[in-house]
Order: sequence, then C-alpha cells, then structure tokens
Amino acid sequence: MNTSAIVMMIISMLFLWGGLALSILHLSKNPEELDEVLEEVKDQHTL
Amino acid sequence: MTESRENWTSRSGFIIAAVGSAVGLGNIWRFPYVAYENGGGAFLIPYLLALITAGLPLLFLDYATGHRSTGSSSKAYRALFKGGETLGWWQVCVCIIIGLYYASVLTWAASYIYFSIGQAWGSDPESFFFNTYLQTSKATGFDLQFVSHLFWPIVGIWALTLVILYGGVKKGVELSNKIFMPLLFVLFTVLVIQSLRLPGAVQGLNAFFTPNWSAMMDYKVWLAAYGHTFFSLSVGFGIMVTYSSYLKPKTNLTGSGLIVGFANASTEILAGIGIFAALGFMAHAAGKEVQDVVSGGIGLAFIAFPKIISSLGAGADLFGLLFFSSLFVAGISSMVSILEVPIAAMQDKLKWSRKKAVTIIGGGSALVSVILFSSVNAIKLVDIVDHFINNIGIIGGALLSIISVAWFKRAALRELRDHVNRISTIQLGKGWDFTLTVITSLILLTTLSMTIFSLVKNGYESYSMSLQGIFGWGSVMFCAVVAIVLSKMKDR
Repeated sequence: MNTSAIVMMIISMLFLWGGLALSILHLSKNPEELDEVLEEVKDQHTL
Repeated sequence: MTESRENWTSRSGFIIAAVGSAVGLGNIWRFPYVAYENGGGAFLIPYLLALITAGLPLLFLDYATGHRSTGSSSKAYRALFKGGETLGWWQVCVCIIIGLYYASVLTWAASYIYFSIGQAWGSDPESFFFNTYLQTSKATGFDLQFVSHLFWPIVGIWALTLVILYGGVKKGVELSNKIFMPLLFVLFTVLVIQSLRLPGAVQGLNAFFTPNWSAMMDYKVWLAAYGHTFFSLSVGFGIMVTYSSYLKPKTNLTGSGLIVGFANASTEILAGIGIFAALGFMAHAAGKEVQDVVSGGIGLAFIAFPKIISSLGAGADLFGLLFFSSLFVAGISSMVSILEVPIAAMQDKLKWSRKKAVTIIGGGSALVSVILFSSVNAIKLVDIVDHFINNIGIIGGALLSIISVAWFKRAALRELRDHVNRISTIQLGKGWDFTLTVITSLILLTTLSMTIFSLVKNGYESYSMSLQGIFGWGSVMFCAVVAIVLSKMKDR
C-alpha cells in the first residue's frame, strides 16, 4: 500500500475503533445500576 | 384491558438492538462505494466530521424525543409541538413503505445464500440476476406477472419477521438481535480476513484509502458525507425514537448513543476494507484497474460479488455463504426495526394488543409486499420506491422534525437537552443546539431541495413517468395523506 493510503487507513481505524473502545469503556465505568444513583446525586447538588 | 408498555431487559439490550437496526445492507454495499466515488481516503475526513457534527447530534435528538415521551414517533412528536403528530405519522408511513421493498431485497440475499453453493449464476451473473432469477419485465409500464420462485422466499422472510415481532420487545426484537449481531460479527470478520488473503487485495485497499484531496473542495462530497452518515444511523424516521421509548426512565442516553454511532461507523470501515480487498482481487484476476470494476448497491452485491466468488475456485462456496449470509443477517435486524415503528405507533394510538398490531400492520404489509415483489417488476419497484422514499420521505421527515424544534420551538429543544443531561454522563451543551439548528438543518434542506429539483426536472433514471408517478411520487403522497388522516383520528 502507498504511504498516504496507510496513513488514512490508520487515522480512520484509530478514530472509529478507538472511539468505539473508549465509548464502551466509558459506559462500563458508569454501570446501569448507577444511573438511578446519578440522578439522586445531581438532585442533591442542585439543592 | 390494555397491555403495559414493554422495556428492554437492560441498557445493553437496547444498544445491541439499536446497533442491529443501524447496521444494515447500506453499511456493506453503500458506504464503500460512496467513499470511493467521493475522494477515497479524503472522503473519510468529511465522513468523520459528519459523524461528530450531524450523525451523533441527530441520534441524541431521536433518543431524547422518544425517551422523554415514552411513546412511538407519532406520540413523541405530538408531545413535543403542536402538529407534531402528523410528522410522527409521516415517519411511520415511511417505515411501512420501506418495509415493503426491504423484504424483497432480503429475499434476494437469502436466495443467493443458496445460489452460492455451486454458483448457480454460471458465467454471466448479470444475465442470471435480471433475466433468470428476477425475470425482469421488458415492458416500460407496470406488469404484475407472477414469478413463482420469488413468492415462497418472500413469504418466508415475512414469516420470520412477524415471528420475531410477535415475540415483543424483549423476547422478540431484543433476543433476535442478541443472536444476529454476534453472528454478523463472526461472519463478517471471517469474510474480511478471507478477502484480505486474496491476491490483489492491496491494490483494492490502495484504491479505497488513497486520498484525492481535490475532492474536499467539492461541496457535493461534503453533502455525500453528511447524507450517508444520516442514512446509515437509522435516524430521522422513527426507529431510534421508538427504540429509545422502551428504555427505562433513567438511562444514560449519550453514553449508549456513542457506542451505537461508533459501532455503526466501525462496521462501515470494516466493510470498506473487505469489499475493496475483494474488488482488488477481481481487478487483479481480470487484468484491469480497480476503477474499472468498482460498483455499489445491488450491482455490487448481486453482480460483482458473484463474479468474484466464481473466480475463487475451491473457496468459492464458503466465500459466497459468508457474504450473502452477512447481508441477510445485517438486513433482517434492520427489517425488524423498520416494522417496529408502525406496530408501536398503532399500539399507542388505538391501544391494540401487540398481537393485534403485528397481525394487522405486519400481515397487511406482508400481503402487499408479496403481491408487488414476487412479480417481474420487483427490481424496478425496489429502485424507484427506494429512491423517492429515501431522498424525500426520510430526508423530508427528518428536516421537519429538526427545524420544528430547532428553529420554531426552541423551548422544546432546551427541554430535550435538559432531559438528556439529567440522566446521561456526557452532557449536551450549546454546541448540540448549534449543530442541529445550523449544520444539520441547512445540509438536509440543501439536499432535499436539490433532489426535488432534479426529480421534477429530469425524473429518475429512464423509468416511465407512469411508474415514477404511481410508485415514486405516489409513495410520497401516500405518506402525506395517511399522516394527515391518522393525526386527525382520536386516540382510543
């Protein structure tokens, strides 16, 4: 493959597959059980 | 006694179903071709920008609209602004029309899984597809001559779709996606690996990824990038509104949406690699350049790929099975999501039970679809209806939904933003308002205006005006009339 094609392939893979990996990581750090707690915490902060 | 509204069993159940809806035939056969035609590697820059500045903001808008109202699109838009119910029903009708012809294309993919074994298309896949398999009518007008071998497979596709839908949100839609999505991942990954091992694959990847920077100066490339992102994510026609309405009250909408958006786009890049590696092999085997063999859509799937498969020798059967099974699995999960929109809408409006809604809406659609698409006109109808309903039905509905809130009902937009921010970890700010108000609205408005102008001035392809009038403009008019009538009906 030529250099410019390799660069574009790597950029797009890093952005999209990296974005997917980070999104999954982010959601796994905020598990579903905590969603309801989050609301309560926010309510307390706004009081 | 009315049934209580169902929910997904979990957030992951919703995510997998939403990915199943977004990842469809277009990811496999549309994206690689659109990218290649619009600057190759250089297209990826507007594509990535479009994902961030239009695709994800629109996805969040759909999620917020459905989740806040806990209703299908007609109920959700009615809750958002006056006259919104008509817009919601427009989206419902668009889904009904898409379901009619989507079943036909799925039938072809399913039949080609069988044809792959021994390569039934022989030495001339083009003639096999149009003449032997579809028995396409040579008449310029409408011809309902029956094709028996198209009949039973399309009946089978509808039976499978309805069985899944009868199962409900949890045991039907969610469970089927939990089976289909891992299966698609395995099938497609093996297919891409097989493609990359073929001689000439590097030539194909070079063609796909080498940037043509001058294309970035062409506004049509940017419109193509935004248009593709929009179609690809299943936004703007009620599916994501309906799916998000089944979420539990406190669900992280933006966190879930990011996974759906990136998973969909990641699949497209994988498809681009697999498809262009295979096209590189095709060019290599024929002693041609990749640009001489490249194609997209139906031509890629049912003409170019059979040619590639026939050139593979010993591995042909396996490669064919992998490709057409991937198409079928990607398509069936999208088909289910398309039909879920009208079924949910009728349940909300008329308080029908799930079974009654599936039987009447699904069964009625199946009947019309089987009559129209097991005929010698199947390919013409698919092409005409798809063009009009995608470019006017979907784009028009999405544009109206965005400008209604972003331009004329700013308070509703703020309410939606506040709703998302109350329950999500990634917060939406004024940048979200701006992308919807300015970027997405103007791009969709430009695209819709150009399409309508072109269709009025030149028509679509070389189809007769009667076919375009009845099935193209007729589909659009059907959606408009039915939307107005249904929105005037009182709820039960």
